[in-house]
Amino acid sequence: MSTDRPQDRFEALLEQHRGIVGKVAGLYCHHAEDRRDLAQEIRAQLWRSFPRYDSARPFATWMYRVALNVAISFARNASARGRHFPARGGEDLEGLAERDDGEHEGAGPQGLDRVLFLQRFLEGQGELDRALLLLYMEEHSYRAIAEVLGISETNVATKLSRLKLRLRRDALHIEQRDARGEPAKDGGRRWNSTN
Amino acid sequence: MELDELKSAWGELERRLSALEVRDGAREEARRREQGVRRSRGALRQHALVLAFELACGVLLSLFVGRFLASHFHEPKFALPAAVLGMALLVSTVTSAVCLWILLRLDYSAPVLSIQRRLAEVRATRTRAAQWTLLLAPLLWTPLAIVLSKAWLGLDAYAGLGAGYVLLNLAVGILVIPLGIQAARACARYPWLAPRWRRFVESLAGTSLARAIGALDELERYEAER
Repeated sequence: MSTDRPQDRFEALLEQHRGIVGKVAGLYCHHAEDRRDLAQEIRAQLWRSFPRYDSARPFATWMYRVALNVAISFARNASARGRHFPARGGEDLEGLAERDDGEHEGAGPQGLDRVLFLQRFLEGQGELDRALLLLYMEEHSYRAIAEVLGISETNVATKLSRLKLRLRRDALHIEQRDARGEPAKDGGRRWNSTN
Repeated sequence: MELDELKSAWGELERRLSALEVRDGAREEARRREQGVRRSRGALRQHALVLAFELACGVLLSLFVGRFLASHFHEPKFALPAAVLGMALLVSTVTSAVCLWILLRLDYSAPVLSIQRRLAEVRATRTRAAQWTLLLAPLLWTPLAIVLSKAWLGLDAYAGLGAGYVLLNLAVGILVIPLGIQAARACARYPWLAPRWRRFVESLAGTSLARAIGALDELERYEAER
C-alpha cells in the first residue's frame, strides 16, 4: 500500500488515532444510532478538512478540534431542533459495563460506580465544559487545551478549578445521600466512595 | 473526590467507549453491506442542503418577480406589489446565500470557540429570517395574489376583487400578526406539540430566536470568563 496518496495517509493516521472518534462520539451521544451517525459525520468532516491539515503539527490535536467541533454542532443542532439525546439508552455504557463486568480487573463495583459517576458528571456539564474535561483527562497540557478550544490558558485554569468545585459538591451530595440510605433519584447506582 | 481521581475512572470509561466504537463500527459495516451506502442523517449536511434548496428557490422566484416587474414597470398597481415581493425575496435569498457561504467555508479544524461562534451566528441569522418570513407572510399574501393572478391568469385582481377587498386583505394581514404571535406564545407552552409544529410555533413566538441569541451570549461569556 502506498502512503503517498492523501487517502492512504489519512486512513493510516485515522487508524492510529481511531480512539478519538469513539471517545468524542460516546461523550456527546449515548444512543447507538446517534453515536454511529455522529462518528460517521466526524470521519466525513475529518476527510473534508484533511487537505488543510498541516503535517508539521500533531495530528491528534487537529483531530480533536475537528471531532469536537462536529460533535458540539451535532448536539446543538439536535437541541435546537427540539431533539435531546437521552442520557441513557438501551445500549449505553452502563449496559455494556454490566455485560462485560468481571472481564477487566479493577472494574469491580467501586470502580464501576466511579465510572458511572464520571459518566453522569460529564453528562451534566455543558458541551464546552465536556470538551474541556475530555482534553484534561486525556492529559493534554493547559496550553494544548487552550489551543483546541480557542481560549486563554488562564481561562482553562479558571474553568478547571470551577469544575473541581462542582465535582466535589456533586460527590459530597452523593456521599451524603448514600449515608442517609436514600435511593438515587435517577434510578442509578450508588457511588461507594471510600474517600 | 478530586478531578485527578477521575482520570483513573476515565481510563475505564475510555476502554468502554472504544469497545462501543468497535461494536458500532462492526454493525455499521454489516448494515452497509446489507443496504449499500447508508444515508447519513448528519444535521450539518441537512442544514447545508436545506439552505441550498432555499437559495435555488429564492433565485428562481426572484427571476420570476424581476421579469414581472420589468414588464409592468409603468403600471404602479402591479409594479408596487411586485417590488415589495422582490425586496422580501432578495433579503431572504441573500440571507440564505450568506449562511450557505459561511457553512461551506467553515474550517472545522479551527479552535472550537471560533467555529461554534460562527455556527451560532448562522443559526441566529436563520432563526431571525424564519421569524420575519412567518410574520410577514400574512402581509405578503396580498401582493403575491396580485402578481400571480396577473402573471398566470392575466387577471387584474383590483378589477376582479375590488380595491376595497385588496385593502381589507392587507388590514386583516396586519391584524393577524399580533394575534398569531400571541397564539404561538400560548401554544409554545404545551409540551405535546410535535417537533415540527414546535419549531414553527417557537419561530413565530420568538422563542427560537431568544435561544439562538442565548447560545451566542453563552459562547461570549465562556470566552470572556477569567
